[in-house]
Amino acid sequence: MSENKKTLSLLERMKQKAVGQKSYGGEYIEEPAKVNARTCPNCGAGRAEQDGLTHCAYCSFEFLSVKLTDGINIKKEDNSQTI
Amino acid sequence: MSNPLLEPIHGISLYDYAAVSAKMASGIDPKSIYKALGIEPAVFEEASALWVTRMQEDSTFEVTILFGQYFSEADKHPKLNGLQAEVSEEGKANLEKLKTDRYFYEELCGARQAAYEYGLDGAQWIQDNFGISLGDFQAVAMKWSEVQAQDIHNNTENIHHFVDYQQKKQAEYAAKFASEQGGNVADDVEF
Amino acid sequence: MSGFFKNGSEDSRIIVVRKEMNETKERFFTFIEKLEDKLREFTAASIPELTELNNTDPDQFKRGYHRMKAAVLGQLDSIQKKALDVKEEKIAGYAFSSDDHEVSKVYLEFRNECYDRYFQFDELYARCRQEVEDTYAEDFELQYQKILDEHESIKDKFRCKQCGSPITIDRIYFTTTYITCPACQTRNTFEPSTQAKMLEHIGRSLAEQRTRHLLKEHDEIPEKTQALYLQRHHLELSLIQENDKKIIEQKTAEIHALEKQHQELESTRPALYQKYLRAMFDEWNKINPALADEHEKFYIRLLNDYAK
Repeated sequence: MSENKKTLSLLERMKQKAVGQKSYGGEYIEEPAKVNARTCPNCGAGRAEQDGLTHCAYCSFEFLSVKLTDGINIKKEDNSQTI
Repeated sequence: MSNPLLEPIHGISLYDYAAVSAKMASGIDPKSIYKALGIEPAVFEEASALWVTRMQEDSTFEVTILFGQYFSEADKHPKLNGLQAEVSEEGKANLEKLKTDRYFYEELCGARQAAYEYGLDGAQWIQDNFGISLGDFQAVAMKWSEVQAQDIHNNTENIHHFVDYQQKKQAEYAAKFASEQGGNVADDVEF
Repeated sequence: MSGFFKNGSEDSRIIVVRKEMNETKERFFTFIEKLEDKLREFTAASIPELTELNNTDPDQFKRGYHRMKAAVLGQLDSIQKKALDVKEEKIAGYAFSSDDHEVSKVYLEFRNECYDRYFQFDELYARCRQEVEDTYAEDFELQYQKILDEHESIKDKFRCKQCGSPITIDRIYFTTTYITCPACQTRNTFEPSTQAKMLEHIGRSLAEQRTRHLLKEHDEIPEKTQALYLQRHHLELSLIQENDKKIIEQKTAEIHALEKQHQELESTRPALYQKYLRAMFDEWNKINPALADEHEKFYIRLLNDYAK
């Protein structure tokens, strides 16, 4: 009986330690889905589909400094044509 | 570039991807990483998912091997080398020692393993006690594994030496963690 | 025979050695038995705790549960290490005069018995570890269902940040993406929830879970062919003593039939693997069609690896 008690108290301590400690990378926070829209920080214009994603159609501000390839949803056609 | 599996995705090369992964693992805010590369999360998340599929497709493991190599060279990345996680002076000194002192590296490997066996998050334990992030630790580990790979051909004695040393250190840390939790379950059983 | 020419003093020497070794053996057996009790008791006590934690850990990666499981396994390891250390020190390192052939023989007998006992212990240890590992369970169906339900509830909830018109999330996105407002053409940035970002990952695990019966069918073949081989082997052995021509003929036919069955079974193996792999990838593609092309390349690679 006392043997059993010893085991249970060891397990209890182990459990408290396992659950109570900080995890590397911090606690897990479930973020909900969200929608945002970026406007050009230079001229304030929105990003319209026909103008592409990489540059502002009005002032050529560079939103993305990479050349887009065919990815999952983003495609080559999303490179802005204005530059 | 002969291997099409190594072509950049949305302009993000394998080196970019590996360096970003290393920087994120060392606790750097993704926002500042994206800014340094001139990209947005949408671009990186697609590239990241697709780099994983490139590794899956690649039966030669070239992509995966290069990824490991680049991961440990994140600090040399021209656009990302300025991004350093906030590290204490002690942490910096420990990281330097980890890079140069094989014994210290083996000791921490043993300690981390012992920590896991005593229900501790080993990565967090290293961070708390030595101020070294998981990303930095993994990057150094890759360097030492290259040394180890060389030893396989011409210095197996060295391999045994460090395996023994790590095991000895692991046992020391295990004893310490055991006493902190009030002993091991079979301490009262004697021969 | 070797004992026949021995004188009395030699025999009594052996008796003493044997007695000492027996004592050590008894002590070793008792020690191992106590450790086995610990293994059983500790495993039995930890399983309900782990099962509960596996079900209730609020962390997405169940990190609390994993730490606890690692700690329980660590304790089992500490028991095993204790047994191993004593085995090395008291049995393998047992001091005796090794140049005495008779003593060496007694020692080897003693050592074998102790090693056999240790081996039994080690098997129990492995079973306990497995029981602890088996407390880990993930309900991928449930995780996927949560993603589906969430999509259903959010897909018409958002409005364009520029003009306020409704925008529809037309499918489950697992990466952040740009969605064009149908009214003003503004590219809105849609960021999926944390759980939806896991879609590709959960998708593979779920697909594997849904098709594991097919993999099992494939994996069971070596066992089945082994059974056929043994059956055949027995028949072949029985032929050695057989003189009856009719029985020989009958058994030889049976052997041929078994051989054929064996070959047939073996030849279905690649097809069964392909059947599993195809079904698994079909499921995965259904769950995350956005990467279907990439999955297909992975499928071909795995199939090629198998053929190698």
